[in-house]
This record gives sequence, structure tokens and C-alpha cells, in this order.
Amino acid sequence: MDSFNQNIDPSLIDVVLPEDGYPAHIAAEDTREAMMMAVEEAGAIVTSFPDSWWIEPKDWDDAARDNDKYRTWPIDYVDRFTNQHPTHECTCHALRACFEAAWNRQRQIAVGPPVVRQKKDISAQSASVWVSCISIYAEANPAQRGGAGCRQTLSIAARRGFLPEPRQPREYGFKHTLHGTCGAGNVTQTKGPWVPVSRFPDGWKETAKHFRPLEYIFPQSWEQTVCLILRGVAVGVGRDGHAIPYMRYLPDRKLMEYTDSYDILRYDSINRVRSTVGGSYAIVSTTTPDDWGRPAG
Amino acid sequence: MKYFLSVALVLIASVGLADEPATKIVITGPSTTTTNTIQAGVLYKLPVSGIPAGELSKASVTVNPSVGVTAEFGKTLDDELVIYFLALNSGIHNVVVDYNKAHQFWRQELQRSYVDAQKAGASEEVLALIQSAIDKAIVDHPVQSGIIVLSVSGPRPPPPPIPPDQPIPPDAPDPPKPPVDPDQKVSRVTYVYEKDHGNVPRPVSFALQRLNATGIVATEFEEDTKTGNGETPEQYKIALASARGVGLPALVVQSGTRVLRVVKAPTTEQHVMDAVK
Repeated sequence: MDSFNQNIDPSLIDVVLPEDGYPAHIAAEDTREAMMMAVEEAGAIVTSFPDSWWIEPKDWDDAARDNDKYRTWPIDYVDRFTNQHPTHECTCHALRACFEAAWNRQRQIAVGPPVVRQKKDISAQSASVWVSCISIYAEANPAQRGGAGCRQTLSIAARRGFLPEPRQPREYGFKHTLHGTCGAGNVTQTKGPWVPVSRFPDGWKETAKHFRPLEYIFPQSWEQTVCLILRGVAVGVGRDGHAIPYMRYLPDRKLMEYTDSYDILRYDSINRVRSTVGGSYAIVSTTTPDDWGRPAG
Repeated sequence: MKYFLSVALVLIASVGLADEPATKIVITGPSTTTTNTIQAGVLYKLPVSGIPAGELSKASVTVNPSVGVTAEFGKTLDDELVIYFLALNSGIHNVVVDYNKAHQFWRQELQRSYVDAQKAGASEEVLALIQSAIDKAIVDHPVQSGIIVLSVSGPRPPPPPIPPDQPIPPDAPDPPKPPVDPDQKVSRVTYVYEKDHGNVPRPVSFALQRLNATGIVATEFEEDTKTGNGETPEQYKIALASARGVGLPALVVQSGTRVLRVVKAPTTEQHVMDAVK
């Protein structure tokens, strides 16, 4: 991977979509303090940005070259795109990307970067688990249309976790699964009808509890956001009506790359990255199984 | 209803179904563990019983991470149901047989039908019928599977000697190496750390990725990480205790449950690879 000398199509930079799940009135409630309180009440740990993780901006180029060389970007731990079209599930798609990146990073198998419309062979040899966006969204917004806030989705995931999808990179023998989206989905994301929480499979919490974020960091500056990315930790953000996961920093172009939940890579300029501080989060760690081959026991 | 598997492992030979004598090991129960390992390049034949007739052909077989495998079902001449698989890497592996995958496919097909019916403007009555079938499929056919940890008894036999009247070809294979003591063969490597004092150095991460490709379970472990049940993961208890003994961060190298060595604060790829030698 080369994070320098990238030829980026300008139409992919600072894209503003029609509101697809993160409307302004919901975004306004997603302050840093509100999100921190919500996940703490849900049982997760909120960690301050560790001083030891800080990287001076003058060293960002070198850190990026190391990430290219050693395959340690957040995107190196993500093996799929998802597709929410035409639903309002964006906050949950962003959250699941951050979760899966953290999960795979803990396993230390570089299953990424994702390839559109492709199921990667490496995924079947790893511990990659595909979690369902709908398993969170159904509780965050029972009305289905209108979207959900990061505060709600982070809290739900921390409290009771994601359900895995029925289609996985390899067989894990999950007792409870739920399709990934009510949107388009793709070859790596199952789709299906709207399912209220009351119709989740009986006993579903016994499986979902094994797929929970354990610890979050809420960056206090855009520089901390860049440092988290350079440290291999994905950062979820919401801006301009849409929520996405930052996955890689391109130093010479000063762009932040993200896996958009429309089967596509897009980019935010630093100005836009600055606007996301205050409503952004990073999943530092997740629950870890007794056996990677049986992650739900 | 829960199905049970009873299996027997038959080691066949290096490639294909050769005529070499087979070593037969009988494993009973869903998860019996031994200290020996599956050998790379060996075609395994796994007789399977206890699965209802008609369902086996739609099941799937997968093997633990970092192991390439081909697997398929078939029948022997004696009409015995078997799984054939070839391990591309040596190591201790879990083989998961999900013989109710047919039912997963059925649920997915029903869910797709629901979406298609909606788009086609089907009546509420029709949609309710499909939803009812989906609900019934979820209730009636929960996914079941069994786990078998396969092993080989003892090392592979050495190749037969070359007859004396045949010239030794220039590229003759090396003489067989002495069998590796399974108690010394590295199976796990864990970088244990506390995140407030730094995360995993990138070269160390890369080294762990390389080790995973060889069949070793190589991961990071942040000391506060828990399972879904709120406990220290069973697979990391030994590494965590060993690492804390020398101070974090530390790299713990294991052969099964035995700790071979602990290296304090490795920072380079070479530190990790030297620790595994």
C-alpha cells in the first residue's frame, strides 16, 4: 500500500450526500461529553487519549510510511465494504467498521484492505467476524426511517453487543444471527427485511454479548484523530448528515480515507476532519474470545 | 434436537490415497485435544457418522485460521460417509463441520423472497405468509455444528531409502530431519501490553502477521481485555501471567500450555522472529 502519490478523483473528496441517517438535530446531541457518559453508563470504559500515542505532526509522514510497510493502518484490518442504500443506517455501518477493524487488529491478521464486490480468501483463514448493522439500528431507531445518533448506537453496542451475520468468512457455528442490513448489502453483507428487536432470535443476547466494544477513546482534537489512525485505530465520525469510519491518512494530500457504506472509498479534507472533532470516537478494544475459532463459545 | 458426531481419523499418506499403511486414531466426543499436530501436505480422510441422511451433502467444512484446506464430502466404496481435506500448513487445528448449513441457506432465501415480494407490491397477506415461514425456519432449524480437534499420532515416517543400484539424483531430498519434540514446537505467540504505555510497535505487529501465516496463533493482547462473559480469555491466561511476571510489554512464546520463553519489550521484527526460533 502506498499512502503517498495517490491520484484521487476530486469527485470523491468532501462528498456531501443527502441525509441518510445522521440528521442535524440528532448530530447536535452527539457531544463528546454526552457520548462518553452514554458508553460509561452502558458498561464500557472511556479512556483518555494516551500521551504515549501522540505523534508529532512533523513525524506523521514517517509513521505513514511505516504503516504502509508493515500493513498496520486501520484499513489493513477491514476485509469488506457494506452498502446501506437506501436506508438510514449510516451510524451503525460506521460503528460496525470500527468494531471489525478493532477485532481483526487484536487477532493481528491483516485481512484488508477491502475490495468492492469481493470476498477475500484471507478472510476465511482469519478470525474475521461480520457483525450486523441492523442488530444495533433496530434498537436505536424502532421507527426504521430517520437515522440514529452515535450516542445511541455506541451505547447499545457497548451494553449488549452486535449479532453476527448469517454469512461469515468461515463457519463459526453461531446459534443466533441476523442479516446485516435492510439496504442493498453486497457479496459480503447479507440483506433482509426490517426486524424489530422483539423478533430477534430467541436467546440472541447470549451470542451478541461476545461482540461488544470494551473501550472507547473520544479524541479532543483533529490531531488526535490523525494519531489514532496512524496508530492503527479506526475513528468513527458524523458530519453533514452522514456517519463514516476514518481508515487511513494520506499525508501528502492531507486527506483522510474512509470506507463509505456505499461500496466505495471516499475522502475528507483536513478542514472537514476538523469539523468532526467533538462527535468522533474510536474503539480501542473489543471482547476477545476464549477461542478465536469459536468466538461465541 | 442436538446431533452428535463420532469420528475416526485415518492418516492416508503424503499425496492422494496412497498405499502406505494408515495410522488409525479414534477420537470420540465433540472436542478431544491432543498435543500432536496435523501435518502439511497430507490428505486426511475423516469418516463421519451421526448426521441424518440427506443433510450431509449441504454441509461445509472449515479449518482453523491460517490453514489452507480443501474439503469435500464423498462416499467410499463401502458407502461410508467421509470428509476429505488437505492441510496446507502444519499445526493444531479445529475442524468445524456445520451440517445444518442447508437451513441457513433456506432462511436467507426466504428473507430474499420477502424483499422481492415487497418490491413487487405483494399483498400484506402474502408478506405475512413469507414472514411466518422465516420465523418458523429460525425456530425449527437452529444452526448446529460440531468441533473436532484433529491430531496425528507421532511424526511422519521417513521416506523409503533409495535402492543401491539407482544413482542418487543431484537434487535428492535432504535426509529426514529428526522429529521435532512437540513440547518445543511453538504454537502461540502473544504480545501482552498495557495501552496507556504505548500500543503494539508496527514491526512487531508485522512479525505477528508473518507468524500467523505459518500456522502459529500470533496475536496482541491488551491486559484489560475480557471475554463476552467478563473474564480473562482462557487462551490468554498463561501469557498474561507470564508477561506480568517480567513487566509489560512482553512477548510470550508458548508450545501449547507450556511457556518456552518471555521476551521483555520487543520492538523489532527480528526480536520477535528470534524469540520464536
